[in-house]
Amino acid sequence: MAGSSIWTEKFRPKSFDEVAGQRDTVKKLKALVESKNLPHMLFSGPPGIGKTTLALIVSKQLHGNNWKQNFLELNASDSRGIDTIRTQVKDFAKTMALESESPKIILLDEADALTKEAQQALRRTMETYANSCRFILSCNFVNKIIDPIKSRCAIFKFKPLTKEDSLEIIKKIARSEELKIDENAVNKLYELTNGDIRQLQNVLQSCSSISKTITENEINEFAAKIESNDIKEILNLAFSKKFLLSRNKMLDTILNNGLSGIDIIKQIQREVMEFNMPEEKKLNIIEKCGEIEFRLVEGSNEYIQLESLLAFIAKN
Amino acid sequence: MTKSFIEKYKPKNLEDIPQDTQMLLKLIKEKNNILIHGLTGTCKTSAVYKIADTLNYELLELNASDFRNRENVEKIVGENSKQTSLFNKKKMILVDEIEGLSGDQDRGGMQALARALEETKYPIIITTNNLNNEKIKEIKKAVKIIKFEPINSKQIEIILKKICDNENIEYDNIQIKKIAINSAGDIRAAINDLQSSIINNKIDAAEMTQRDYEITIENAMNTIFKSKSLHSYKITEYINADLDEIMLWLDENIPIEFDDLEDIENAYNKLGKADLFKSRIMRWQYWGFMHYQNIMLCSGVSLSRKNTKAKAVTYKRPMLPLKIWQSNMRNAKKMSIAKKLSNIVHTSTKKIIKNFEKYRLFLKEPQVLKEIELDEEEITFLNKK
Repeated sequence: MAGSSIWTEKFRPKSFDEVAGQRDTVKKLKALVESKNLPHMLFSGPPGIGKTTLALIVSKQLHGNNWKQNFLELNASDSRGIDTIRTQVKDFAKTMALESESPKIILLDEADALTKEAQQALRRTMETYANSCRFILSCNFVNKIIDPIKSRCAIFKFKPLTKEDSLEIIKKIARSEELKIDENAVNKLYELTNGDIRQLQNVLQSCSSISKTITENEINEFAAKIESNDIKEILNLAFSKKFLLSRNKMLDTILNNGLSGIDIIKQIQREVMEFNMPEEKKLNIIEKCGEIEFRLVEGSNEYIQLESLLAFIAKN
Repeated sequence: MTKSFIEKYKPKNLEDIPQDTQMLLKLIKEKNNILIHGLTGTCKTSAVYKIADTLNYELLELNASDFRNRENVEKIVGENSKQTSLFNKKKMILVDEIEGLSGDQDRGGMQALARALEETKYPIIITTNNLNNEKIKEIKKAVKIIKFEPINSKQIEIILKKICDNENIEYDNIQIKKIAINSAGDIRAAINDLQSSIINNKIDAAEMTQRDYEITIENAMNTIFKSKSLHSYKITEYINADLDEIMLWLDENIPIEFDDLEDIENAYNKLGKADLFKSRIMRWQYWGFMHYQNIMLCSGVSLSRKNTKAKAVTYKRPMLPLKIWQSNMRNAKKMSIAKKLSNIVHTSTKKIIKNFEKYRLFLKEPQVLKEIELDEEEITFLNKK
C-alpha cells in the first residue's frame, strides 16, 4: 500500500527508534514487547504526543505483517455506549491471534470519555478476554479512570514533547515536503499548537496547501481564519444587556459548529475568566455554569439550560 | 318532553360538586359574607344551593331576572337579613350574577347591597364571572373572596361518562375527552355538548362545533405571559399541545414579551427548572414530576413578570426545531467526512469535527481527496465558505 498523503499518517513514526520524546516509556515498551509478555496498559497524557502512535508500534512489533488482523482500534467518544464496545470486542476476541503467538491488541482511545458505569462494565470485559487480548487504553486524564481499571494496567505517563523535539519534527517535514519555512514561522507554529503534534501537522499541511513558502505571516493568517471569537461575542452582547441578540448568536454558534452544550459551557467559563470585571461576579457566573453543566449531565435540554445561563449573565 | 341533561343531572349532594367546597361551607357557617368568582359553568350557584341543603338553611335568592333596584334589594336582602325565619330556620342569601345589576333599572341596588352587607345577620353570598368589574369595587371590601377554578377536564370526563352510562349511550373515551377539552372547564357547556351530539344513542362528536372559547396556543401564551397568576398552569389542560411544545413557544417568546432583564432571567430560570423536571421524568420514569414541570413552566413564567409593562405582543412560532433540522442537514456532510477520515488518521470523529477548520484546506488536495474517497456532495461541502 502506498503511504498516506495526510501528514499525520505520512510522518507517523513506524518503529520505536523514530519516536520523538517519551524515552523512558519507549524503553519499557520495547522490553515488554521483546519479552512477549504484555500486561494491559494505560497510556495517559495530553493529546498529540504519541499515545496512539506507540500503541500502533507495539502492535506492529508483536505481529509483523499480520498486525492489522490482530489490532482493533475503538474510540470511546464515538462508540455509542459500552454495549457497542463490548460486542465489537467480543467479535474480535473470539478467535486467537492469527498466525501469531502474541495476544491481540485492542486500543481503546479516549477511554476517559467513558462513564464510571461503563468503565465498570469494561473491567469485566478486560478480564473475560485476557487469554487472547491485551487492552491499551489511552486517556488525557488518568484520574478519570476508575481504580479497578488502573490496578489492572501498567500505567505509562506520556510527557509533553520539548520544544526541541517539536522543532525537529517540523524540520523533518519541511525537508521531505520541500517547504521553505523560516525560524519565526517555526516558533509561531509551535506556540499556536502548544506541543500537540497532531494539530501541528494539520496546520502545517493546511498552510502548505496555500503556499510552499511559509512565513510567520502565513501562520498568523491561518490562525486568524480558524480562531473563533463566537463565545467572546456572545458574552459581550450579554454583558451589554442585548439578550435577544446574544441568545440568537449562541444558537447559531451551537448549530453551525455542531458543538455540544458542555463545549459551550466550558468555553464560556474560560472566557469569563479573561473578562474585565469584579472577581466576585466572575465567581457567581462560574458557580452558575457548574449548576447548568450538572443539569446537562443529567440529560436536560441544552438550549433551554444555556439560555437560562445567558439570561443570568445578562442580568448581572 | 324529556328533561335536559342539565336539569336531570344537577348535582344531588354537596359531594357531587367538582370543586373544593369545604372552605366555602366553613365560611358560611361562620356567617361571613362571600364573593365567589369563576368562569361560567364552574358550579358557583350549585355549590351555594347544596351548601344550603347541607346546613339546612333557608336560601333566599336574588338573580338577574329579579329587578334589583334599591327597593327590591332592600325588601329581600334588607328585611330578611334582620328577621328570623318563620320556622326558626337559619337563612342565607344568594345574590347570583351580580354583574347583571345594571345602571338604569337597578338604580341604587348596589348601594343597598353594600349597606345590607354591613347590617345583615345572615351570610350573603354573591357570585360573579368577573372579579375586576368596576361596579363591584365597593362590595369587594366587605366580603371574603373565593375563586372557583375551571373544572379539571378529567373530572368533566368522569361526569360525562356517568351520564352516558345512565342513559345507555355508546361512547368511546376519545369522544368524551374531546367534549371535555372543548368545554374549557365549563361543566354546563360540556353536558350540553354531550346531549347535542347524541344521535341514535351514540355520540357523534366529530361534527361537534367547537366552542368559541377554544384556546389556541397563542391565547395560552397570552394567558401565561399576562396573567401573573399561580393558576395559569391549568391552561395546559385545555389546549391541544403538550408541555414540550408549550416550552418551545415560551422559549421563543420570553425575550419578545419581557424587556426587563430581571424578568427574562426569572422566566428562563423557571423554564430551566421545568426542563430539569422533564429530564428527571425521563431518567426515573416517574411521571409524578410532570405536575412540577407544568407549574414551573406556566406559573413560573407568569409570576416572572415584575417590571415589564404590559404591551400587545404577536407571539412567534418557535424557530428552534427548524433551525436544528437545517443545521443537521448542513452538518451531515461534515459528519460523513469526519467518519471517513477517522479510520485513516486514528482520531475520533468528535475530535475531527471540533477541529474541522484545521483539516478543511488540505483535505481539498487531490491526493487526499482520492485517499479518503469523498463523494461529490462532500467535496462541494469542503469548497463552500
